[in-house]
This record gives sequence, structure tokens and C-alpha cells, in this order.
Amino acid sequence: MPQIYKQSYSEFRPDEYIYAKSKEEVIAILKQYGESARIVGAGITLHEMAVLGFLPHVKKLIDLRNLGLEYVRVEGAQVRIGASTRLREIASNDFFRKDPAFQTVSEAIDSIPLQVANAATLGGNLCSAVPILSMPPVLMALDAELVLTGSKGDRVISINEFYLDYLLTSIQPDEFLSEVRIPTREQAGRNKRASTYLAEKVVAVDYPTLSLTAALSIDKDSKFEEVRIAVGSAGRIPTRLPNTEKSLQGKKFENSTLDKASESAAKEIDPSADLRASPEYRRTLVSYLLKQAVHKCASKIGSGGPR
Amino acid sequence: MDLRFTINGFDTEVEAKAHENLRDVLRRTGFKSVKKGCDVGGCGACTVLVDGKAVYSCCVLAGWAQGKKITTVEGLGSESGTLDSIQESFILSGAAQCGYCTSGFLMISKEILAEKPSATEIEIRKALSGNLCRCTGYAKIVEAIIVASKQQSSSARALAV
Repeated sequence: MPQIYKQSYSEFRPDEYIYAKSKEEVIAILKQYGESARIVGAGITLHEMAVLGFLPHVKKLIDLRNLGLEYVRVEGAQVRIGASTRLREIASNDFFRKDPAFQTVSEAIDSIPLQVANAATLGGNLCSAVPILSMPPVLMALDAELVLTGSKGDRVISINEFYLDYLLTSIQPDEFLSEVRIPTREQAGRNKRASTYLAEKVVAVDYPTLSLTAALSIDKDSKFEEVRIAVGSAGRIPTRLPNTEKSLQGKKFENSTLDKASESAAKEIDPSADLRASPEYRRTLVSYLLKQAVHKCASKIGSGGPR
Repeated sequence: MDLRFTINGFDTEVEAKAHENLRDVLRRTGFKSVKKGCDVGGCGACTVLVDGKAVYSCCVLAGWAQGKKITTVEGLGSESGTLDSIQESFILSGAAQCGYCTSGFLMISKEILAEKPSATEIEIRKALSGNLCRCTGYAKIVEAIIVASKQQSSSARALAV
């Protein structure tokens, strides 16, 4: 470990790793220890945060393995995924692998090294609130809902209201994420919908310099219907791009529309500078990835569009 | 805390601290094939199989491995000393230069061969993207995996006959 990290890592010294037996026990521990208790999946992002010295206050680690939160199932008009489900398991589910409307999920997970996707949990990827992780923007573009379990019972919120700031979510100290719900919407429109995930990386094992998810539908007159665009690594939190979405909605799929939308996307993000890229580069990147993503969705739908 | 897991087929009990990662616990227990590389899930030198799936042992907590089945390079060959076919294949192809990344590559290769025995070269390269060889000896490593997969499928055919 590089010398500069050694001291910060030595500050991460939880005194207990708890295999909680029930939701009630998790809530009781969270209530008792507040900020110094932390839910862990495999601990992958947690490890990295510990190395960076973000977690000197963590004293209790809570493992959710006994809560039965590892599942992917279709219920009514929703796909429900347990918070402890591993990313690789999600990606191998036919629903996310084959249905173009939800393929962005398996595409995003396929871009993560096997050794991470085999262990990392969906809950960990979402609740770490690190804006460079892949799943938050993917699930934002799919309009997912999160089930937060706490002492007052379950609370369901849109993932679009979940991220408040860098490493900060709207989850309360006595709550934990138990389930993610993705609306499947009416079956009839499904064939016309498509989604995709694109990311620019410096090297394969790195986090994305910028990631973009598009989920959209195109009608028979080549007009965009529903459009949802979300980006990661583009600011302090993963975020939707409502202005860019509006610039596409109801418009015809042609070059002038795409040009306007990509200009809008470049204006709409609020990127930071870091070792991977400058804000200017990220603005150029989002314009490019947006166009690529729209074309990719259109070809999945089978809609011609401009060349 | 007390950890119980199976390492290379043997039930093992070890003492670990809550903050420790799986790699440090494995190395302390004597499994030195598990290499310490980048420490943050970027080089793959610490790759082990957990319940048959390749995992970076440096960035999963030891507590997470409780009750699971772990395989390291020490568990690849037979007890009598015969090497696993992937090890033979790495030797024959000369798929090691300095050798530091080799145990990680062997473990990810085991998963590739188990999950998709007929993987194409492109698929193999993609699956290897989480492992780094600083000597850049990738060509021989990919070759070794292709050779092993061909051997595997021909011996499977021989068994079928």
C-alpha cells in the first residue's frame, strides 16, 4: 500500500462484524450506533473508502446475509431486486440480458471486472453514493424506486430523490436499503423501448471518466416518446438530465435534434476536474456519448434515423 | 472474530479482525500464492475463487467469506503433486515472465474455463481485463487459456465416446 494511504487505512478499525439475524436487529444496531454502524455487502467500495481515510468513525459492520435479500423476481408491473443481490447474478438474469428496454443493466455490469461483479452487491453500489459507480445512473434512467426499511416500516422513494451530495443520500440513520423496484410498464409498448449504457474509461479496471445511460422509445413516425438520460462521474452526484430529455421528447429522430440535445447535455452537467479528466473534456464526452447512446437505442428498436 | 471457511477443500478456522480483508487472512494462514499488488482492486494479483467465482481478495472483507468455499493456486493440483491442466498449459505456453501476476491469472482462467469452455479469444481477453501483467505478457497468457480450453473439450469428447 502506498505510504500516503497507510495512515488513513490504519484509522479504519471497526471492533465488530455482525451477522444480523433479522431486519429488527439491523434497525436496533443502527439506532444504537448511528453513524458509526455501517451496512456492508462484500465491502468493496467500503475498502476503497477506508483506504482513502473516509471511515475512521465506523465501529460496527453489519452483514445482511441472513435477511434473504438475494433475489431477482418479476412481480406485477415491477422487477424487484433484493439489496444483497450480487451484480453478476443480476446481469445474468434473462430479463436484463435479453429485453432491450432493460439491457442497460447487463451492459453496465459487463463493463465491471468479473472479480468485482462476482462479489459486489446492488445495495452497496447504490448506497456508497460515490458518483463514479455504474448502477445509480442506470437505475435512474429506468425510473427505479428504492425500498428503505426503518423503525417506522418501509418507505418507498424514487432513486431520483436519493442522492443529495457527494457520499450523502437521503437514507436516515435508522434505515437501510432492502429492495430496488424497476417498473416494467405496459407490456404493449415494450418492443419499441430500448436502453443502453456507455462509459469512457482510461483502462478497463478503472472507474468511468464519464458514464451515460439512455432509456427511450421511438414511435412509428420516428419521433422520440419517453426519454430518460442519466450520467455518472459527471459531478458530485449521479444525475438525470431533464433539459436534454426535453430537447428530445416529441422531436423527430434526425441530426439537428441530436445536435441540440448534445449541446444541452454539455451545458447541463456540472463536472468536476480530477485525475481522469478536466470539466471541458467531460462536456465534450457527454455530447459524444449521448449521440452514440441514442443511435444504439434506435438500432435496438429497429428505427432507421439519420446517418 | 472466528472465521470458518473451506480453503482448497479443507475446513479451516482462523481468527480475524473486523477490518481485515480476505487476502491478508489467507496469506497469514499460509496461502502465499495470493499476491499483494495494488491493494484496491485494480491489478488482479490477489484473485481467488470464492464459491467458484473469481473475486479480488484484497477488497472483500474477511467476514464476508464466512462459510464460503475458497480456492487458491495451492488447491489447483492434486494432493499427489500433479498440476492442474491450466497450470500445465501456462508452463507449456511460457505464459509467465516475472510471475507475480501468474497466480491471479490462473484463478481467473479457472473461472473462464468453467463458465464458458468454448470462449473466443475476444471473450477471453475481455474476461481477463481485471488482471494486469506489468511485463505485458498477455499474448502467451491468452494462448495458454485457448490451449487449455481445447484440451478440455477434446478430453470431454473422449469421455463421451
